Amino acid sequence: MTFISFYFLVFLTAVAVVYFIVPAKARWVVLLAASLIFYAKAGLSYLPFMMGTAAITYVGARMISGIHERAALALASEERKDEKKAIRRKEKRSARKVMWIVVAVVLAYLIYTKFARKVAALFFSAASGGSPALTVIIPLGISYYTFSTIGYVLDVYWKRYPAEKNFFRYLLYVCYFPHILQGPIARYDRLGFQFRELHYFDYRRVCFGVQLALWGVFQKLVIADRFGPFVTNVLANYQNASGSLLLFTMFLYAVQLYTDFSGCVDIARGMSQIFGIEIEQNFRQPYFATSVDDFWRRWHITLGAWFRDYLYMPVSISGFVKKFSRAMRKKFGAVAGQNTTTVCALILVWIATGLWHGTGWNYMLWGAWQGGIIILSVILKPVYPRMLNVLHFDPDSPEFHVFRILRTFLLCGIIPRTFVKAPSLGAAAVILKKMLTSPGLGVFRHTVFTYGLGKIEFLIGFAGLFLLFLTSVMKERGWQIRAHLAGRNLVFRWSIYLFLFFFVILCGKYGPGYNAASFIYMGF
Amino acid sequence: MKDRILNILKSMDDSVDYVSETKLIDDKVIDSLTLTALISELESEFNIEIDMDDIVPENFNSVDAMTELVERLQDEQ
Repeated sequence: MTFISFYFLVFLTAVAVVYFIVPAKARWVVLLAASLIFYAKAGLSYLPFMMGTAAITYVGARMISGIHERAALALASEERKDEKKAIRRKEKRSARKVMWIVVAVVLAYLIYTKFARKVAALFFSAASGGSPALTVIIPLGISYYTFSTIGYVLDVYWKRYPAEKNFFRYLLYVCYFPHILQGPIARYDRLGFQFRELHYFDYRRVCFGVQLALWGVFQKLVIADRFGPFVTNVLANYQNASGSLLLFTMFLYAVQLYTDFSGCVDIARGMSQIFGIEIEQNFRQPYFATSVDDFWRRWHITLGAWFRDYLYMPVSISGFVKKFSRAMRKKFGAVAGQNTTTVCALILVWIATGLWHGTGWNYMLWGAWQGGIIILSVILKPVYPRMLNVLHFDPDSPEFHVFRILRTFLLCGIIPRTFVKAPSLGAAAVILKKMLTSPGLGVFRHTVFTYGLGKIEFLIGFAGLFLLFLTSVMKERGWQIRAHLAGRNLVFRWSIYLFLFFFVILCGKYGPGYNAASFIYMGF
Repeated sequence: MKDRILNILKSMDDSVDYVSETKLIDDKVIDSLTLTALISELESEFNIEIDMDDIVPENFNSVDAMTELVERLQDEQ
C-alpha cells in the first residue's frame, strides 16, 4: 500500500475517523493497529523481523534502565567515595555489556541485508564459478527503524531518559505508519513521548496536516515523477548526449531526488499532523546551503543528526581517538590535536553515511567526496579569511552568497550524484568529462525533447518547480506559509487550495501501475 | 575555574560574549565540531574524563553550567 493510492486514502480516512471516535486515552492503540495492518500489508514476512527488533531493543533498554535505577539507589545510600566509584564502575560495565549485545544483534541483521548477496556472490564465484540465488528478506523501512531503535537504546544507556515500560507503545514508535517508509529517523523522546499524551480533534491542525500532505503529493506527482523518466532515459544514452544536456539532466535529477524524498516526508508529516503527532522536519531548503557542511544540516536532517549524536560524538571522545589526538597535540600543537579528533570521527561518519546509502564502490566514492570536502574545510578553516582577503572577496556581499550557493549545489547536488546515478563508475567519469569539456550547446535544443518529455511536459514541470522555488524562498526568509494563508480571507485561501488541488489532479503523473516502489529513498 | 574555562572558550572563538550567553548549544553558537574540541581541552586542562552521559546541552549551554560539570566530575573522579 503506497501513500499515493486510492486504497491508502480510504485507509487513512478510516483510521482518522476511528481515531477521533474512540476515547482520547485509546487513540494510540488505533495508530498501533493501523501501523501493524499497514506493515503487514507491505509483506507479512517482514513482520517478525520488525517485531523482533522492537522486542530485543525493548528488553535491552529495560535491562539497562534497571541497572541505572539500582545503581542510583545504591549511590544514594552510600557515603564513601571509593565505594561510590566502585558502584559507578559496576553500573557502567553491566549496562555497557547489555547495550553492546543489543546494538550488535540489531545492527547485524541490517548489515546482513545490505551485504549478504554481495558476499555470497564473491564467495561462490571464487569457489565454484557461479553464485546461487540467495534469498534475503529486507523488511520495509529496516534502515529507518534500526537506526531509531539503536538511538533509543543508546539514549537509555546514556541516561537521557528511562526506558519505556509499555511494549506496545514502544512498538508503535518503531512501526508508526506515516514514517516507516522513508523516515524521518525518529527519536524516542520526540516521537515516542507524544504517544503518551492525549490528542484531541483540532480543525486548524487537521487543515494544516491536509495542506502539508497535499503539498507533498504535489512535489511528488507534478515534479519528481515528471522528470524521473527523462533523467533515466538520458543517462541510459549518456554516450550520445551532449555535455550541456547531461548537466541539465543532473540538475533535473537533483530536483527529482529532492521533490521525491521531501514530498514523501511532507505527506508523512502532514498525515501525522492530522492525528496531532508531530514528525520531525527532514529538509530545510537544502539547495540554498552555502557549504557542504551546511547542506548536510539541511538535507536528510534526521540522518545527519543521528550520525552526529550516535557516531561522531562517541567516536570523538573514545579512548583510542583521545590517545591519538593527545599524541598529535604533543607533537604538532593544540590545533593538530583538535583536528585529529574531528578528522578521525568524520572519516568514520562518512564511511557509514556512504554505506547507509549503498554498498557499491560508487557509494564509497560518493561518501569520500563529501566527507573529504568537509574534512578539508575543517583543516583549512584558519586559511579562509586570508584567502578571501588576498582574492578581494567580500564574504558578506550578496554576490558571494550566490556564488557559495551555486558552488555547494555543484559539490553536493551534481558531482557526487553522478557517481551513483550513472550506469557505472566509468560512465560517471565520461559524463563528468563531457560536462566539462564538450558542452555541445548547439545540439541541446534539438535533442532535449527526444527523451520522452515534450515541450508542454517541461513547461508544467518547470511551473511546478517555480512554485517550489517561491515557497522555498519564503520559508528561507522565515515565513510560516500555512499560518500566513490561514490568516487571509476565505476566497484567497480557498483559491490557493483549489489551485494546488487541481494542479495535482490535472498535471500530476499517476495512473495504473503506480506504486510506492517509486519512492527513491525507500530503497535505503 | 570559571576564568580558565572562559580562556579555553576565548581561544576557540573570541567573537562570542561567553559571560552572558546561556544557550551556547541550543542557539548553535557551539557546534558539534567545536564541542568535541572543547571537551578535549576541558579534559586536559582539568584532568577529568567527560563521558557521553555528560554530553547534554544543559551541561554546555553556559560557562556556569560547564563550571558545575567540571566541579562535579572532579569530585566524582
